Amino acid sequence: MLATQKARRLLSGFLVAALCVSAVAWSRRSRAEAMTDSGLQSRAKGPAGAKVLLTEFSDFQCPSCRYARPIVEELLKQYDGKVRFVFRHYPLNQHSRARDAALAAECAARQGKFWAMHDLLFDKQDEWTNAPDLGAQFAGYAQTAGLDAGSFAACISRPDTMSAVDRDVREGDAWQVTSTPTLFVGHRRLAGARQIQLYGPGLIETLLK
Amino acid sequence: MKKPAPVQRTDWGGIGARAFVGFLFIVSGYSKAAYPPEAFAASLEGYRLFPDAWLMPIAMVVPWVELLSGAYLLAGFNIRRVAGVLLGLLSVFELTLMSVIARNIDLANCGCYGAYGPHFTPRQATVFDLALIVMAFYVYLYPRQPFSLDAWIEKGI
Repeated sequence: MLATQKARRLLSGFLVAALCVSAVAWSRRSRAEAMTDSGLQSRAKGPAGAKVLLTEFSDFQCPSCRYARPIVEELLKQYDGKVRFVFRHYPLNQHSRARDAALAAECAARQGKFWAMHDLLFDKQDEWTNAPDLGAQFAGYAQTAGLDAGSFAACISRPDTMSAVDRDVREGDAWQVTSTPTLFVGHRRLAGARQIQLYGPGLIETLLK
Repeated sequence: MKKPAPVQRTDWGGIGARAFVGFLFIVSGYSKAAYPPEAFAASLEGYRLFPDAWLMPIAMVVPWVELLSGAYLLAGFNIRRVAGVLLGLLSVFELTLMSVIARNIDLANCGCYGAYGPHFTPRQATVFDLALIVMAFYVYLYPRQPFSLDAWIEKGI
């Protein structure tokens, strides 16, 4: 009787654990293709053939992304000419205005002014996050960035603008991005400003060797 | 004359508490273990409690402890022991959340339930964890439950 109970106990414990391990292994199978700059010239910095590719999935409404910005800029300055940096949109669902901001930045990119809008959106994050009229606020930023106001306004609601943002989100999902900022140094993942600051330079150095 | 044995009523409250706590820990553990640990390590940074070198090891181990304990509890395997482990975990979580509140750290999301679960602030999570502690304690006190692997191991089907 006791032997039967012991066998049942071992079998039950093993089966439950095996079920958990299998479920996690199934979820973690990689669905992503190789990380490339995806031809995103307007949202990239650094030489196209650089040895190291940095890809940041970011959300303009996320405070951590704002904190990470000077850290990433410092890395780009430190490894100027050796790395290529690509910005990818990953507006989180809990940030109600992040998707609109991504669309505004995407429209600026189409007029070759992505980085000007990128800087404005992070510098004035508190302002537009609480603005009563978001459209008017973004129109003002478009003017500051030197964009053509009519083209900008028409671009915001165009389906191809939305699909550009959606494509980035889909690729982020495929790379199992769950938080922002997530920076990939090659294929190595760093989540949050602190990890980028602590481990970014070391990973870049390793890839440059 | 021999008295008939008293009819034992099924403790549906205990079964419900076991199922709820078990299911919640499965969600919590799975939503973190199923993704690379860097994101959970980044949430842990926000607590400003652990040295940098500890963050990745914690982010790799805790989700598995949550997932396995939750699955064992839901299945009713070693109920008392597993409820004890979860009580310990919940107490540590509760103290951690309280320290965040006491230090006035502004965390929008406690990171407790990874990618799938609700996004609680530390204050909301403290109240929710307290309810879980009460349920886990009840299960710890009354671990003999039907519809469990423990019952099957003891008596067979």
